[in-house]
Formats: sequence, structure tokens, C-alpha cells
Amino acid sequence: MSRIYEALQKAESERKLDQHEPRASEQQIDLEPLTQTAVAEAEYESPVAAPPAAERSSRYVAPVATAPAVANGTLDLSKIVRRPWSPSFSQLPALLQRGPAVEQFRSLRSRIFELRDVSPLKSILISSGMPQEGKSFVSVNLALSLARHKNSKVLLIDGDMRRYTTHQLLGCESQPGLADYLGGKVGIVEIMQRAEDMPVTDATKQQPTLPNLTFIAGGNGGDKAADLSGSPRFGDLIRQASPYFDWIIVDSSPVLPVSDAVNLARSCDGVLLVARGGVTKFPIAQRAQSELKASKILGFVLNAVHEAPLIGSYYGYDAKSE
Amino acid sequence: MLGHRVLNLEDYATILKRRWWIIAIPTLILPIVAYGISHFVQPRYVSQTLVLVEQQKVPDSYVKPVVTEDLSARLATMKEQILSRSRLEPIIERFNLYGTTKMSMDDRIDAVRKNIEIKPIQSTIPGAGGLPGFFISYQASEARTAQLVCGEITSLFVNESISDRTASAEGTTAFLQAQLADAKRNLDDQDAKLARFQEQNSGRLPDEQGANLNMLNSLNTQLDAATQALARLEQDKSYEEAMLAQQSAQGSTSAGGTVAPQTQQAELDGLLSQEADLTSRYTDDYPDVVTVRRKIKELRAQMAKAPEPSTAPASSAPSRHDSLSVQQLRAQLRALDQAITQKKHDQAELQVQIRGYQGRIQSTPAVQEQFKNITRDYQTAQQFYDDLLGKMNQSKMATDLEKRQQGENFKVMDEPNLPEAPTSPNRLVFATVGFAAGIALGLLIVALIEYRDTAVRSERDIWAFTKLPTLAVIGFAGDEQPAPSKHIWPFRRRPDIPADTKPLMNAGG
Repeated sequence: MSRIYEALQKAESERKLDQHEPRASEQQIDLEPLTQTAVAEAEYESPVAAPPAAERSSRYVAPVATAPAVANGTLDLSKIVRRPWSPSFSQLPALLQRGPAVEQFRSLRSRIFELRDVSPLKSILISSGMPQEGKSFVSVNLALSLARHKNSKVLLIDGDMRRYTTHQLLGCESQPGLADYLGGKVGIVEIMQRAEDMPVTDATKQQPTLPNLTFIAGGNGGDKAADLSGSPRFGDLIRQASPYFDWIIVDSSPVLPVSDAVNLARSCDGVLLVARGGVTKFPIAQRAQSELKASKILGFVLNAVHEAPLIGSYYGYDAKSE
Repeated sequence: MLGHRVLNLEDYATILKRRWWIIAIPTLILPIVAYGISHFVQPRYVSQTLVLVEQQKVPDSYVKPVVTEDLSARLATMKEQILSRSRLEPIIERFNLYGTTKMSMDDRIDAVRKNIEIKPIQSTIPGAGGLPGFFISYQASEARTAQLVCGEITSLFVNESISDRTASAEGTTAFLQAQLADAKRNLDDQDAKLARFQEQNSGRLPDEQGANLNMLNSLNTQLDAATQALARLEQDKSYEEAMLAQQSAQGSTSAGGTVAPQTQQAELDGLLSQEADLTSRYTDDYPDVVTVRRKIKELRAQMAKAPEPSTAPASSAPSRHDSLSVQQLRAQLRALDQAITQKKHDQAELQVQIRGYQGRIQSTPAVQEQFKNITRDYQTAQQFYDDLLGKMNQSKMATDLEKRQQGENFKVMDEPNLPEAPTSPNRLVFATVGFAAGIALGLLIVALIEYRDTAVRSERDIWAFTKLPTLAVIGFAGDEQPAPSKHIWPFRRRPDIPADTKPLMNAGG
């Protein structure tokens, strides 16, 4: 159901984009040619062996004859470091082929598409009132879910410079990260990282490779996190990265204990609040809402609900049409 | 979320689904606890007896019942009497009721009172009225005691009823007897008064008036007869005197051709008396009167012409010179004189009698009035006395009826039964109450928990408090909670987790 809807949405939005502005991905045709859906499907979801490395690397390594690393405000994404990731698949249900969790994230994805039709939306900050409500889980899974949709390119930023945990889900390094960039130590491309191709093992024979997801880890902000989050460099980062990505998802710290997320939210198009079912008290949710009243709050994601509505119990609908 | 926003049916269902075990545990445990408690509660045995009220055996038309008080009212009175301390205390002491407890006698009496129940049977037949009977029941902690005490109380009731009715009947009779004695005394007084009056006014009583009138008439007749006889005698006497005068004149010398003046005088007297008699009855114009007056006139003229008679009175005294005929005449005259005197005496007597009778007849109305008053009082007293006498006899009969127990009495239909099983505690009721209390307690706990739980759980909560849409609901897929519970409880719906996935966990962030 959601996928049909998404397809319609997509078609609609493409028509609009054709009229208004050329798509970023088409502008950056030299960076990363978007593979066909069928290819992506075959790559993500079919249980066959992965294609040869050379062939796949050609997807990411764009012909960079004309593009320097950072020149005139543009980014050379081919410089992005590839690192060996070992994703914690048990916590990434968005990567599954089928199941309720996949459907729930797909449905979240379609709702975001709907919102994008109403007003322009590219960068989304994900926050919540208190810690331990599932911001990182939702961020990573949403990013993966978006990335799986027609090979959209997604930039995932871990904006929680105090207790950064996103890298643990993805199983990668946390340095260098956002704090280093905001501190002015390194450039944008240096803090970005992508996954290396993973060897197919028996245990993970049905697990797809991570899609074209670019990740910026938290880095060690420490006590300076509050100052760092107020730095205008974060705005620059979003502005510069926007043309190269379809979506920018920013994981952040909780809004009630610290104000980092509120600072970061100023540079984002929308804020998605996470509430943990049965844990988050409604006064906390209300206060989180009022803390972020300067930003555009897209809505809530209700996480870890025991009595979740039955979504995706229709077996037989798999992700082949993505 | 209870009490923080309006919940719909679905929310309640969700709460129940989430907390059902909190309701289930007390619901299961409390009936068992209550059932257990019921074993520690002292058992109560109820013994019951049915007492029927038998109506009077002799029809009311023959013997009117003396006790007319409504049975239910009597029953209430009797109940109060029987439940009095003086009646209950012997029973309590005899059966040692509540003897094991350290209660005071007053408390024990109160407790026993509470255990006695008197319940009238209402007649099921409409319009039958009255009570066909009543139940007496007693509850105790032992079956035998309950039976014995119930029997005791029943016999108290029956005896009380009999003695009550008998006493009532006897009381009525005694009262009537006292009244009757009074009435008799009164009647006797009236009787004496009447006799005295009759004695005092003998002859003047209303019923003697006729006789008095008759007597008066006969006396008048007698008087008339006496008067006439007297007149005759007077005439005879004057005739005899005339004869005597003549005889004595012839005897002496005088042979005068004239009528002796004595004779003329006698004639004149006779005429005068005749005139007086006539004038008393007739007017002056009556012919007889006129005639008599003319004769008197002529006679007086003759007497005036006539020479002065010799003054020698014609003495009636006999003298030895008198001849035989004169002596005879004199004797006759004397006899006449005696007769006249006798008659006059008779006349006076008669007149006295007549006056007496006239006085009686005149005083009769006043006497009659007094007599009527006295008679009326007497009749009233007599009536009252007769009335009381009738009632007295009735009452005596009714009392006799009660004494022979032929009147309305209580009949014990069913002897007090020996209860086989205790009526209380009813274990089923205990368990049911426990069950209800368990559900109530469970619901209360759930309500309390839900009120204190302000965590958001659904899109509706989020919308209610933040007015923000919920873009997605992510199911919990962590392994923080052990899974086995899902297999134990049959009502839990197993989430649809594909077999090839592991439980998911959100480590948070």
C-alpha cells in the first residue's frame, strides 16, 4: 500500500521538480549516477551473490575529471572515506526485506514525502524530550529506509556530540566527527564516511549491503558541545551538503536536558520528535514541543509501542518494487 | 492516562489488555481467600416452626368472642412480652446461650433477641384477611440448641396466647359482674323508692282515679238519698205535730173552727222551705215559684186575720192527762226526731267523705307527675340491669369457651426441625462476594495505576496533549522483556515477527 502511494508521490514530485529546478542528482551526474531501480532491487534484496567489487565501485566513484575536493563551495564526494562497517543488523529493521518494522518505517517515509509536497523539506532533525527514547534508532532506520527508496542519497549526521551512539548501530568509527568539523579542525568531506563492501557470509546471506548512505559521526564534543552546536558552521555544512543529497537526517541530543538540539534545529527544515510508548510522559512531550516551537515540528514518531497497529502482516508484499 | 483525557472504548480495551493480569490476580485469589475465611466463620443453624392460628370452633353467632383485638396486634404485643428480659433470661440460663463468651447478660439477651425471628404468613388468598399463622425461627451455632430454643419460644407463645385470652375473657366477666352488682343495687333502690311513693300516695295514684270517681258518684247518690229521706222525715214530723196539736186541742176544750195557728205556722214553714228550694233551682218567673209565693201570701193574710192564738204551746211532752192516741203520736214524734238526727249525722259523714274524694281527685295530676318520674327511673334501671345480665351470660360462656380451649388458639403445625446443614456461612455467597471484591479491587488498582501513568502510548495521546500528528508508530521489538510470557498467556496476541528476523532492540540515543 505504502509503496504504491510512494510511487505516485514520487512521480508527482518529479513532475514538479522538472518544472522548477533540475534535480540535484542530475546536476551531479558526474558524482554518482543513480542506478536503476531494478538493479538496486537485485542488489539489495535478492539473495544472489553480490556483484563484483569493481562494478560496484564504479557506481560510487564518479568521473571526477572536473571536480576538485572542495572548490567554490562544492564538495568532492569521491574523496569520502570508505571504512569497514559492521552494522548491528538486529537494530536496523529498515534493512529487512519484510516484516512489520520495515512497513512502519516505510509508512514514516511516505508521510515525510507527503510533508515534502506541502513545503520544501530536505534536512530533518530528530530529537526527543529525554534521553533513551530512540532518537538514534529512528534516525538510522529512517535514513536507511529513505536510502532504499530508488537509491536516494542520504546523509546521516550524528548531532549528539555528548553521547554519540549512532556509530555503534552502524558499527563504524566515531572519529573524526561533527565536533571536529564544528571546531574548525577538519573539512566537510573529511568527516564523512561510507561503508565498504561487506563479504557475504552465511549468517548474513539475506542481508543487503548498506545502501548509499553517507554518515557523519558525532566526534568528541565533550563540554564544548553547547558552544559547538551554536556554531554557524553547522548551517554551512547543511547548505553545502544539500545539493549532493536527497535527504539529510540529523540525530541530536534530547532537548530538555541540553540545548544543543535547539541550536541545530535552526539550520534544519523540520524537526521530528520521538516519544517512547509507555515511557515518555506527556508533560515531557509537551515541554519538548515548546522548546522547539521556533522550528517547524513535523510530528511525532511513537517508538517501542507494545500494542503496535498491525502493519506489514501481509506476507507476500515484499520490497521488490522499491 | 485515565483522568487526563477523555478515553474512548478502544482506550479502555487497550488498558484492559495491558493490565488484565492485575484484575485477574485478585479476581482469582480473593474468592479463594473468602472461601477459606468462610471456614473460620462460626456456622449458624436455623430451626423453624410453623404455628397456625385456629379460629374459634363454636360459631360467632352462638358465642361472641370476648377478645376482638386484631391478631397481628396481639402478636406484636406478645412478641414484646416474650422477648422481655424476664422471659428470655431463664431460657438463656437453661441452655447456656452465649455462655462461653464473656458477654454480660444484657448483651446475651440482645444477641438472643436478634436471633429470634417471628414472621407472619400473609394469606395468599386475596381478601381472606387475617393471618393463617406465623413462623418462629431461631438461629444458633448448634443445630440441637437451635431446635430446643425454638421449641421453647414456641411453647411460650402458645401458652402466652392461651393465658392471655383466658385472662382477657375472665377480666371481661369480672368487670361485667361488678357492673351487674352496681346495677342491681341501683334497681333495688329504685324499687324501694317506688314502693314508698305508692304507700304515701295510696288512693291518689293515677290508676286509682277511676275508682275514686265511682266512689264520689255513689257517695253523692247516697247524700241525695239521705237528704230526701230527711225531708220526708221532717214532713212526717210536722204532720205528726199537727196531729198532736189537734188531738191535744180537742182534748183540752177548744173547739175552735179555726185552723190552729201552729198548723198554719207549720204550713208556712213548709211553704217557705219549698220556696227556698225552688228559688235555688228556678227563676222567679217559674210557675211553681209564683204559686208557692201566692200561697205564702194568702196564708200570711189568713194568719194576720186570725185572732192571737193562745200562747199555750202545744207541748209534746206527754202528760198523764194525755189520751192514748196522743201518747202514740208523741212516741212517733220522738222516733222521728231520732231518725232525723241519725240522718243528719249520716249526711254530714257523707259530705266529709265526698270532700275527701274530691281532694284526692284534685291532687291526682301532681302525684301522677312524680309517679311517672319514679317509674321512668325504675324502668331505666331495670333495662340496664337486664342488658348487663345478658352480656354477663355471654361473657361467662366465652370464658368457658376459652377455658376449654375451644376459642381461637395457636396450634403448632410443625414441631421445630433439627437443621441438617448450617444456613450460614453460605460458601457460594462468600466466594461470589470475594469474586466481586476481587474484580473491584483489580479495577481500582488498575484505575490508580492508569491515573498515575502519564506516559503516552498511542497516537490519540500524542494528539490530545500536543496537537501534533503521529507520523509513525514503531512496534517494540527489543529483547528487554523476556518472551516466554507470550507463550504462557493464551490471550496475548503474538506479534507478527517473521521467522527469519531476530527481535529488534533500540538501544536509545
